[in-house]
Amino acid sequence: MNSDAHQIISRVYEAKTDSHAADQLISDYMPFIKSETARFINRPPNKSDDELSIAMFAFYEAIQNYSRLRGSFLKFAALHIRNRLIDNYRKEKKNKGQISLDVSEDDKTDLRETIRDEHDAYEENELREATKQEIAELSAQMQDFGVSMSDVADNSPRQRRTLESCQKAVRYARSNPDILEDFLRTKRVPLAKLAEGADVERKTLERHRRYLVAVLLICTNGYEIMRGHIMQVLKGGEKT
Amino acid sequence: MKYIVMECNEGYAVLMDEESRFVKAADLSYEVGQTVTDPVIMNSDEDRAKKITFRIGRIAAVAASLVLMVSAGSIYYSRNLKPHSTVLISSDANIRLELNKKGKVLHIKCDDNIGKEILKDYDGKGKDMLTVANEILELEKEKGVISEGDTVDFYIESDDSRDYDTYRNDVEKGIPDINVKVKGLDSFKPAEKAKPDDKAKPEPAVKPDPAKDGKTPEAPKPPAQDEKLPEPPAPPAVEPAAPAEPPAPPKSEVKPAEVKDPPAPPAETPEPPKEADKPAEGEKPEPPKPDEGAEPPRPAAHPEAAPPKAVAPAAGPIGEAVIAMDEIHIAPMAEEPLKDIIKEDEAESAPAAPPAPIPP
Repeated sequence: MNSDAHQIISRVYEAKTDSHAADQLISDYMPFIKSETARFINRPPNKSDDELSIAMFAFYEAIQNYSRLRGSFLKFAALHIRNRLIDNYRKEKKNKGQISLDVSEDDKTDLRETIRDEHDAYEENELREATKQEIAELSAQMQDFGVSMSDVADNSPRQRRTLESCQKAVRYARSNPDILEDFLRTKRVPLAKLAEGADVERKTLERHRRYLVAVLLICTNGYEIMRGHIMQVLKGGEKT
Repeated sequence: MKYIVMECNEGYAVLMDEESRFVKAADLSYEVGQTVTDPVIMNSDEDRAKKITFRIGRIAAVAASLVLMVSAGSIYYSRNLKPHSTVLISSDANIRLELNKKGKVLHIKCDDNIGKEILKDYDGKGKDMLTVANEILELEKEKGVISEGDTVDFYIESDDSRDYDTYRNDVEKGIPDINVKVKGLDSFKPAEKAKPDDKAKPEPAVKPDPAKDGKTPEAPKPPAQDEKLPEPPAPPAVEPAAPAEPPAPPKSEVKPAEVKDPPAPPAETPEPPKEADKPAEGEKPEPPKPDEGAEPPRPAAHPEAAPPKAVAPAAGPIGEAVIAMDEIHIAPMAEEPLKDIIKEDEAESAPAAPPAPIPP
């Protein structure tokens, strides 16, 4: 028993920093996650159920937030899953009065067929494919810098002030193509130049270096869809 | 806020929002490249801590605002609603005005019928004290309770001496046509007034007592003991005292005589016990008081024990004892000398036990 508990804990601690180990741990404990979900929804969950996805996500959160002081990991994870499912239930409860587009009142016709679709599904599909391609390219390029999407998500600034400092640096880099060229050539973030040019604390930029790699890469040529998505940030730079 | 799905993992997806922020969220069957609007975003411990801090902040804010409201309320109450001063307008009617800190009238009270009649249709609440006082006096004039030139007593009581002075000045200067006598409210209470006088009077009365008693104000206690003591020998002992009286008049002369009379003591030694008995016969138990210690009984009860104690003092003051004896007959007030005398006499009498039979 003790050795099992120790094994889980060591795996949890490994998964905190290694996304592959986290994925592996989640896969291994999928029966546990499903059972916790089933206890909440009172039926075995399907693979397409949002509750199962949320339970898996809660399990991942539990991995990230767990510490030995909190006792048994599985109990902690079970509690975390339950809380997340309750939160989701409450959130969904607010939308209870709304009608689903998938099913009509007489259950014969799909409501979506009755609504005039202004979006071109074909176009949307193409856009999604193009975006997917861009993201794949970006991921590959990021790997050259030794950075993964999960790393970027972990390293992303949370406080508004820090985010603005980073955005200021990005805008400065965008307005100075030389800096971006240097960045691509040397594969190193020119923190000194950015800090000096954007008038922000170098330490702040250092702390969010991996995030800056991702955003600076998006600012280079080839990622127009993503650049369009974060245009607000980039526009803010042009205004100033 | 729109999010682009950047990566899908086993338990979560990485999304990028429009502010270029990367977040982890639940993978609700997302596909990479998909745009989503309402993801389940990961809460870190920091976020939870922030939430808790926010809640605590809210509770603290509510508590602080409550404290502020209560304190503001209490300040308002003490300034506006709590009576701080009282002004009593005393004519045939006694009308009492209760004033707040600002000097505005809170209540007008009156217990007698005349006052109630005057205040029947009058409401001066919220008005200045002087205004109300003038209006009430006007009403009293109208009703014929007072007339111009009459004297009306104002009794003022206040928590603050400055307020007292202010009201006093206001009343003295602000009321025309009427003679105003202003007094502190305490002066209205005769009982309290009398107290300090009483205290003053008894003092002189008390003084004489200590003078009479000399140094022993405890005098009253011993009589009880003395009454017991005299029981056995008292009556006969008095008689011999009589012959002692003649020598008494020459008090002043006695001293020299005392010195000369050293032999006398043996003859008089039996008398001390008699003296102790005297009070029993007569009315004054005081003389024996000093002897409470046990001296009076010594001669009778413990004749043997007494002598050793008395031996030391007995040496000198024997002559004085003679004088004292005289004094006792004439004016038995001086206690201390009596004490000494008795002690000494006892001391002497003890050895001279044999002469005891003299009384008969």
